[in-house]
Amino acid sequence: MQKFNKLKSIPAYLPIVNIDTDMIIPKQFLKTIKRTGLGKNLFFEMRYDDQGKEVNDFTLNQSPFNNSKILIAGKNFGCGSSREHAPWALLDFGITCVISSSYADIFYSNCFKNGILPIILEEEKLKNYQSMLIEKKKYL
Amino acid sequence: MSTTLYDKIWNDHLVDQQDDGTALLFVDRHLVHEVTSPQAFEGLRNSNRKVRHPNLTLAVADHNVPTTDRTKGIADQESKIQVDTLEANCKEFGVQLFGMDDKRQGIVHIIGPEQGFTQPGTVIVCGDSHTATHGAFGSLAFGIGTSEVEHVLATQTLVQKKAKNFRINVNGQLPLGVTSKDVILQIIGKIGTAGGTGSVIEYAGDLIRSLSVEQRMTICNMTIEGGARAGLIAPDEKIFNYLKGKPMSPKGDNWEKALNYWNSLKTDDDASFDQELNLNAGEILPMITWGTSPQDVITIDEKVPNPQSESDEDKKNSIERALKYMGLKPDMAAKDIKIDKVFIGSCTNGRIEDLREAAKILKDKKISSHVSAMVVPGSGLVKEQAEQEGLDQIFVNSGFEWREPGCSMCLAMNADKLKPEERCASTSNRNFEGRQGRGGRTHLVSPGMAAAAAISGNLDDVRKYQN
Repeated sequence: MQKFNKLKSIPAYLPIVNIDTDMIIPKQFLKTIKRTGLGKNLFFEMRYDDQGKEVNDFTLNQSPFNNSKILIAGKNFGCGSSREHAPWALLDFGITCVISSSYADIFYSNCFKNGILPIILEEEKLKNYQSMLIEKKKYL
Repeated sequence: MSTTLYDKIWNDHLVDQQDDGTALLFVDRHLVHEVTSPQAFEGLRNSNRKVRHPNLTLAVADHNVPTTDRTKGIADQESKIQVDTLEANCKEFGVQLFGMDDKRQGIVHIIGPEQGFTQPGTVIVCGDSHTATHGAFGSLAFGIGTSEVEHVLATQTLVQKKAKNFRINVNGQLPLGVTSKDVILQIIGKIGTAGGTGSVIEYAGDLIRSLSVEQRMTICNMTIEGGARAGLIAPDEKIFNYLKGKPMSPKGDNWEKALNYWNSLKTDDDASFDQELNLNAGEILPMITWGTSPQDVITIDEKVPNPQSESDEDKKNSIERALKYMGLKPDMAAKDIKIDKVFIGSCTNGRIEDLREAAKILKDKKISSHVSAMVVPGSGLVKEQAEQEGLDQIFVNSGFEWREPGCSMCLAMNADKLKPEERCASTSNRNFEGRQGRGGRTHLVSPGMAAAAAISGNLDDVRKYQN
């Protein structure tokens, strides 16, 4: 596990509430017996089309967000299945910090086992960040 | 001091507690399946550790197993590797495994109770969020991640922080055709998928006490869909009778000692809760989900919501997104939703009573010509029991496929899955995007409602088919 004290990155923003762990890493990738290599399939259903091509307007497919280390998302992030493959996939993609107004319990504790920092920010502050990001995105 | 059932079980398992509230709990029972355990066993191997208490650990392959003819083995290579890995790990570490050809094999949350491995007052964990099911026995049961699976295998303990106490009281009687599945869907609709976050929910009230053991399991099972890791129901005579004589239940003097302890497992009359919710069972109707979250519920008599009538921006967006994914129009009637598939099974509704409930509706009827439907019993023992009762014949005669036990199309890790845009009435627990197959559309319902949908070819009211 890598320790970090400071993290500097342009955050990626997914304006969706209740992002479940099936969304973060779909079940077809749970057949692995390893912890690594899941990053390319992070958010698979949203990131790739039926032919397996990258969906252009999905944030994590766009520069510079394809290199984001921070992910900002709507409330109740990580709900559903207990699969630790969800934080493994985030980590393998390069995301070491998630910011949301709330998390599902199992996902939240799984983050700490893998060196991912899940930050809880009040809904209002989160909204401010989000509008700031949308504004900044125009100039990136 | 007055305590809740959750407080009592917690206190009885506390090994150590730090000033910041971090606690170490003893774990009585550990269930293991093939998907969330390989990395945990690998961790043990890498650090040269053993399984601390193999006799408190029980393993089964359920997620990846085929539900068709098993004599040919598993066709999907990755699934096969995972199941073989579990087998090898259990052999190496001395853990009891119900293999694919063992008739006791089945969904991990169905076999635990069947064997008497699940017992009141115990702490039960499994690398699976639906571990909450076992709370129906008055055990503190919750899902954990793979790192925690490794920790429990190595130490038989788990680091935890105490959750809040949340009680949901359901009183009154359920109308005809309404089941415990409708009760829990109604509850999730009310509290939302994050409503129970940070809490353990105790279900109480005369309706809950009147439910059978299996009906209680359905309620506790879907507690995780309301955000709470664990759901609890105080154990009573029904639970004790269910467990008596099960292969792993206490025997002789130990049974008497166990009963003494189990009888003490109830919330004190004057115990206080951080949160309470009261529901009238008489007002609950057959439910369906219309969207992509288990909180997206309406009754079968209602209409799909319209995002235009929602003022909250987040909610409006999420309704729009869900309707688009589900291929539904705002304000359309639930009964106008035409379906392609029906799935009866899962740890939520794959037990014998669930199959009886569906078979009762299907008897002497045929399913709609455009519907393909299957029943996947929750375990080999459920399958055997159903066949003894002739339920398999009722299903087959009506047009259902009768399959081998496993998780199957609840999460579609094996070959059973929806094609894009296929619509399914399912007795499972999650209607997330892609859950039953990429682009697949899931409507969560009770077994009776699934049977009614199969006959009508659209979501329909089970009460129409009840005598």
